[in-house]
Amino acid sequence: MKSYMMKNTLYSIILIGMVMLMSGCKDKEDVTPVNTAPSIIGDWHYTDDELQADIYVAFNSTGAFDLYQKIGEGRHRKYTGNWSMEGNVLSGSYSDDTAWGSSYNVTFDGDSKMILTATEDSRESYTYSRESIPDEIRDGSVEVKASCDILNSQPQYRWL
Amino acid sequence: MTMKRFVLTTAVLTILVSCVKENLETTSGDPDTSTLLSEKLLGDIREQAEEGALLFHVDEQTIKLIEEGKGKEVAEELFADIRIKSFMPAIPIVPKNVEVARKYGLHKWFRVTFDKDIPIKEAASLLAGKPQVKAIQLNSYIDPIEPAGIMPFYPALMTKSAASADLPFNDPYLALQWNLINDGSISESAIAGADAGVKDAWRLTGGDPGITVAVFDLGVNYLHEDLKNVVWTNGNEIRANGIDDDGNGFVDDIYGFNFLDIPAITEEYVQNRMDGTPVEAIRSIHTIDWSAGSGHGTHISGIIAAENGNGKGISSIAGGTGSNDGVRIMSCQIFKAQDINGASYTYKASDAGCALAFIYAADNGACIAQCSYGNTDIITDDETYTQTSRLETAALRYFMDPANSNHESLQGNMAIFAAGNMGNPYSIYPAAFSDCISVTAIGCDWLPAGYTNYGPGCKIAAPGGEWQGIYGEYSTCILSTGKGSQAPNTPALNGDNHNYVYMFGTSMACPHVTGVTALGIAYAKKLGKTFTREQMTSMLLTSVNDIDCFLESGTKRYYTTGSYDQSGDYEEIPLNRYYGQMGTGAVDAWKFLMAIEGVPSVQVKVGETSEIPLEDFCNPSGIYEVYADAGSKASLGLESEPFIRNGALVIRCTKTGAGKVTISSSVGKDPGRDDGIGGMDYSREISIVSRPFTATNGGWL
Repeated sequence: MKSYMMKNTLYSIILIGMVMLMSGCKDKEDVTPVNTAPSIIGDWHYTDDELQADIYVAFNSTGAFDLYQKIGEGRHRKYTGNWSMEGNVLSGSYSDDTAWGSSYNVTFDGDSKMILTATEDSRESYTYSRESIPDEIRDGSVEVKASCDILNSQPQYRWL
Repeated sequence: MTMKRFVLTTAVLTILVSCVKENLETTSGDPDTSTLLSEKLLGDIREQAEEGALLFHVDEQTIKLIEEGKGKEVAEELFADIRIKSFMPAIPIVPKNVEVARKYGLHKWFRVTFDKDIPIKEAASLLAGKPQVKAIQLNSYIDPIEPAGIMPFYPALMTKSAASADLPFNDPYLALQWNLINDGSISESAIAGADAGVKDAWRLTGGDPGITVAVFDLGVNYLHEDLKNVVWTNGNEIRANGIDDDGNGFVDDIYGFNFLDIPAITEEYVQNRMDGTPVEAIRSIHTIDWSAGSGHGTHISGIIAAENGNGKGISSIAGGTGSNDGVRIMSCQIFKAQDINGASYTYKASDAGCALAFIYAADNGACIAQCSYGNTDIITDDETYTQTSRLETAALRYFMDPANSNHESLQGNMAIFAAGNMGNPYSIYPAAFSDCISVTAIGCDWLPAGYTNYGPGCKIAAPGGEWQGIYGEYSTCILSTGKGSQAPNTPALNGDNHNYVYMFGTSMACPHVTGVTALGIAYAKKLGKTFTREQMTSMLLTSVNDIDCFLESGTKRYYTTGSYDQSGDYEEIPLNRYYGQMGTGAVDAWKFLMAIEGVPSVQVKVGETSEIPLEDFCNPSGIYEVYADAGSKASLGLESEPFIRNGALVIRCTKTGAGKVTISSSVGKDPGRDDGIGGMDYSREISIVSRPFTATNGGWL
C-alpha cells in the first residue's frame, strides 16, 4: 500500500485534477461526461510493490473490460466483465455477476494517467498509466472460473 | 584415511578371505547365543529370504581395523567357526559419496555367503556371538507388484477414444489414453477430467532430458520404438568390454544395471579378486533383460517417458513436447522373469539388490526412483520395516539425501512407490515408509479401483485403470508400451505384438505420480527455482483433486471374473471404506505446476471475517493446522488465530497489508496406533492481501 507521502501527493493530484475538471466545467459544462467516458477506453497498468500487485485492465468502447491481475506469485489471472460510467463514477461487474469491490471516482492527469479513487474508501486511490497489455500476459494468463467443480471438469485457473 | 583408500581397503577384503575353518559347531542352542541372536537379528528367521547368505553390521572398531589393512585378521576372527564362501562390503561405495554413505552407516554393512546346507539360524547365531557384529539381517525377498491385469491391445479395433479432438501430439494412440486426457467418452462410467491433468501442463513443459528416472522393476526395453530415444545412456561406459570404464563401481552399465542374483554377482566378483584380476567393480552376470515376463518395467517406463510427438504409439506424461526433450529412463532391474510354456514367472528381488540399486541410482544421476514393488509381508509400522530392512532403509535415505541431489532444481531425490494391489486397508512397505510417496489407484471415474490398497501409508491417488469385466474390452485400463514383438517366447496374448498393451494396477498409478513429479522438476528448472524434497512433496500432495466428495456413500462394482456381457463375478464395494483413505486426493499436473510457479495472493476485506475456499491449495477434506508468523500477524492485523472450518480458511484482518498463513497436515498416518505407520507431514503457504474492499471472486477492481 502506498505511503502517506504518496497518498498526499495523490490527493494533491486529485485536487488539482478536480480543480481542472471544475474549471473545465465552467467552459464545457454540457460535454464533460462525453469527454470523460471515451478517455477511459484503452489499456491501463497499475503496480503496487507492497502488495506485489501487477494489474492490467482494458476498457473497451463496447462497455466490456478484460482484467489481468497478478497479486503475489504466479501468473496473471484473467477476469472479464462490463463497466459503465455515470458522471465520473466508474462501476462494473464481473462476468460471473460478481460486483466490483467498489466503484471509483475517475480523474485524469493528462491522457496517460488515470486515477481511480474508491467510493467505498476515499483513502484508496490508484494511479493507472496508459500502457498496452503485453502479448505474453494476454496469451499466458489463465482464466478464472466461477468455482471448482471437477464433476463438470471446470477446475479453476485453466488455460483460456 | 583417504576416501580412495577406504574404498580399496574394504574391497580388498574379498581377497583376504578365503578363510576358513571346516566344522561348523552348532551353537544356536546355547542360551547366551540365543539371547545374543534375538538381540542382534533384525526381524525373524523366515523362508522368504536368500539361503546361504547374511547381511551384517559391524562396529566402528572393526571398520577401523579393516581400513588399517587388517581385514584378514578381522575375517579370521569373525568366521572362525564357519566355512564361508565370500565376505565383502554389501555396498560398493564410490569415493565421491563416502561421507554420505558413512552418515547412514552403509560402510558398516557386509555380506557373507556360505554353503546353503548351513541353516541360516545357525550361521546367524555364530555371527551374533561376535561382539564386533552389531546387527544381522536376512537378505529378505521383496515381491514385484504384478499388474492386476495384462490385456492385449489391437490397434485395428480402435473404436473408442478418450479424447478425440484437439490433441497436442500426433501419437496415434493418445486418443485412447484417458489417463492423460479424459473427456468422459471412453466408457459409460468415465467422467471428464478424471485424468492426470497433463493437457494444460504440457503447454508449460513436457519434461527435461536432464531429469533421470530410475525404474526399479523388470528390465526396460531400450529398443522399443517409443522408448529408444529416451533411455538413459551412460556415455562414459564402453559397451560389453568387461571394464568399469567410468569407475562408478559397475561394469558395462550402459542403460542401467541388472541387480539380480547378487550371490552370482558377488561370487564372480570374489572370484576375480581371488584370481588376482584387478577388477574394482561389480560385474553382473546378466545384462538388462526386458524380454521375459510381463514387460512390467517397459509398461511403466512408457507411462512416464514414451517419446511425445514422434508419430508412433502413445504419448506420456513427461515424454517431451515433440522434440525429444522429455525425461530419461534408467533401468534398475531388480526382478527376473522367465517364460515357461507360455506362462510368465517373476522372481523376487532381495533387500541387498534393492539397496544396491538405490545406491547406483543415486550415484549415477537419478533424481526420482520409480518403484512399483513392495514387501507383501504384513508390516504395519515404520519401526518393523526399518528393523527388518535396515540396509534397504539406509540405502533409501542415502538416495534421498540432499548431498546426493541429482537435479539443480531439487535438493534431494524422491522415491515414489505403488501402494499395492491386494485391496488391503493399508499400504505395503517401503511405500508406506514416512519419507516415501505411496500411490493408490483410481479408475476413469475418479473412484478407487477395486484392487487398490488404501488407508494408512497411502499418500496420493492416480489413474491406475481397471477392467470392467468384458472380454476384449480393455479401454478403461492403462495403455502403454509393451515389451515388444521382438521379445522371444512371449506369453500368448491372442497374437498381439506386445508393442503396446493394457495393464492396470497401482503399479500403473505410481508412474503417473512419477511423471507428474518429473514435470514439476522440469518446470522449476525452467523458472530458475529450486525446492527441497520436502517442499516439492508438499506441493505435489496439495496439488490434487478432491475425490473424497465421491466417497461418502454408494457402492462400486468390481469385477473379479470376466465375460462377454459383464455377467461375470463381481463385488459391490462400499465407497465409504475409502473416504479419507486414498491419500490427499488425485494427482493433477496442472495444479502442481501452478504451485511451483507460485500461487497468487488471496484478497480479503479488512474488518470482515473471510472464508477462503481451499480447493486451489489442497484437498479441503483434510484436517489442517494453521499458522501465521508474527510478521504476518502484524502486517495483516490478525487479532485472532485463523482456523479451518468446512474446508475453508477462516481469517479476520483488521488492517490493510500482506502476509502468509501456513496450513499443514499429515497424510497416511495410522490413526489407531501411535507406533503404527507414521504418515507424512506436509504444508502449504497461502498468501493473503487485506484491502478495505474486494470483490468476492478475488478480482482486483
